[in-house]
Amino acid sequence: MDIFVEALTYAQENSDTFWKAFGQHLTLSFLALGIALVVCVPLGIVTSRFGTVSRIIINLSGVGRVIPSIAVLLALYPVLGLGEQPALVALTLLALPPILINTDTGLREVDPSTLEAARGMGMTTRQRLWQIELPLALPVIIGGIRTACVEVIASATLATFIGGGGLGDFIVQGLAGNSTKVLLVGVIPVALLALTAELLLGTLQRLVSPRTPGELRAA
Amino acid sequence: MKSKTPIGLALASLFVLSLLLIACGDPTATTPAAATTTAATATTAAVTTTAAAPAATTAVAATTTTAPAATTAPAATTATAAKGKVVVASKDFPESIIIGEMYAAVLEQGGIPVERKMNLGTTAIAQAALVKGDISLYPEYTGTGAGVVLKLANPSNNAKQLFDQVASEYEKQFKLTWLDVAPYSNRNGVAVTKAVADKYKLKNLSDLAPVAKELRFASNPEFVGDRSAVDGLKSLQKTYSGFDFKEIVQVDIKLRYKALVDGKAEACVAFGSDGELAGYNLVWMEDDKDNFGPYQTGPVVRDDILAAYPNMKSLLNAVSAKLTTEKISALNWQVTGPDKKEAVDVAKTFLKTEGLLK
Repeated sequence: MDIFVEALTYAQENSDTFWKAFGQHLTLSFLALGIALVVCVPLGIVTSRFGTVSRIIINLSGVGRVIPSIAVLLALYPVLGLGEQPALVALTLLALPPILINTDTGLREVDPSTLEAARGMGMTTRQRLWQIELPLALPVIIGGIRTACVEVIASATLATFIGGGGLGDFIVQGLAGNSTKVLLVGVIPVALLALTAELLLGTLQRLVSPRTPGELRAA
Repeated sequence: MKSKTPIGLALASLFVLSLLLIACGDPTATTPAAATTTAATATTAAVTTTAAAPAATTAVAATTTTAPAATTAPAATTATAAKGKVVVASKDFPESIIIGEMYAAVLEQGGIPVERKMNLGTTAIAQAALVKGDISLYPEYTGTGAGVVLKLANPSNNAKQLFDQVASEYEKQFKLTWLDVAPYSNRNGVAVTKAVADKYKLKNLSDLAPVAKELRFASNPEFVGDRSAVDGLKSLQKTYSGFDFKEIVQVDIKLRYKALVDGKAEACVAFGSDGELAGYNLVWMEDDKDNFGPYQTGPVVRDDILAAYPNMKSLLNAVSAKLTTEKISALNWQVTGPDKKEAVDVAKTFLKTEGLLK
């Protein structure tokens, strides 16, 4: 238990640096997620309408997850140099696959008979998309965002290797100095952030999930 | 999907099995870096295979349990070390690697069986490995030994006295011997770009202290981490008041100068014998208040190894005698500059020129 107290003390002693790193970590994570969302949700809508081409696009996006982020970082470093930019690129690549795949799958899983009914009611394509398909696919899409979120928050620790800052700075300092208390100052906030994201998005996912007929009848 | 699960499981188990075999067979798996990479590759494997979740979690749990199992292996190596190989290591920056390679080369010529573990890690890691017996010797600096390893309250600023202080404490506390140190002192310090030095008329650290708030500072983790108060940024702040840099860009030790070259920082952590100082036309800030004491480098050897191979002493001392600031910074530049030579080649060529290697 002592080590946690020591870690807390160290964080307090270096609170300026800590909060700066924390802020950098959050900014990097949210930017990467934001970009991935803006790119993948529309892309997912498009790919859900097509067959083979979408398989290819989805498998290509899988590259972001299969290639270790640190390798992407170090590969980008000669081109983009040091700092937050290459870190942002690597993290965005990491966030793309879960969001794209889940958007695509979520939309494909919408019951075709529901869409038929909507078409029968005279809804335009746009109305169908916004009023039927997206709301029904939303739980799955949020599931994808949830996965991406946790992965990105954890992987943003790698930004430290190319001068991108973030909580990884403390992890590396702890490793370099063989100091567990410094290591924990990096590790614990990252874990807490990831857990919080997981819980928040999990709750959101449950909230947007359609109630089963059983639940509706009880209400 | 149903037919793919057993295949996925089989592939995952095969992968984990091969990792276990590597971890158990290789003594280097005890270094924290190796242990974290094996754990990381295991988790990436778990993510990419679509095998059932329980299989993935047991796979990760299995790999992490092998790490402690692998640490029992080095106990066997210490016992046989006296008769077995001498493990020559170095820290993770070019100068240390070059000098480590020099030590290894002369020992081999002296008929001693050598195993190399260059680029091992930082001071903390190298010292831990030396005390444990995973390595037999590595080049260390007197200033670093005093401040970081021994955490001396009052290290002397006189080179000879500091050496005596450090050597006797190392012998008492760790049963490690300091052989002769090289005449040059490789102090910690700060370098700035020529443009900045000209603009603010900077010659020494006292000049730089108030100006720091306009500048971005590229630093390795140790300088701003828990070594900060010992011989890092906090020690500068204490001695000089000021040094409140606009931004601290923390990078790997080998990327400090890249940050300056790329325009991501105007100042960086510099060491007295860095080749980049001349190579990139940077300005070294004089330590006018003597914040950083002497940093002379020499081999730190385990007593039991030295006892087993007493001729080691004269072989290694011969190397240290030849090292001066000009010579070592030229060697450093051959490795880090445009030539990008291999440290081992640079070391061997130098030894041949100095008549220490055939």
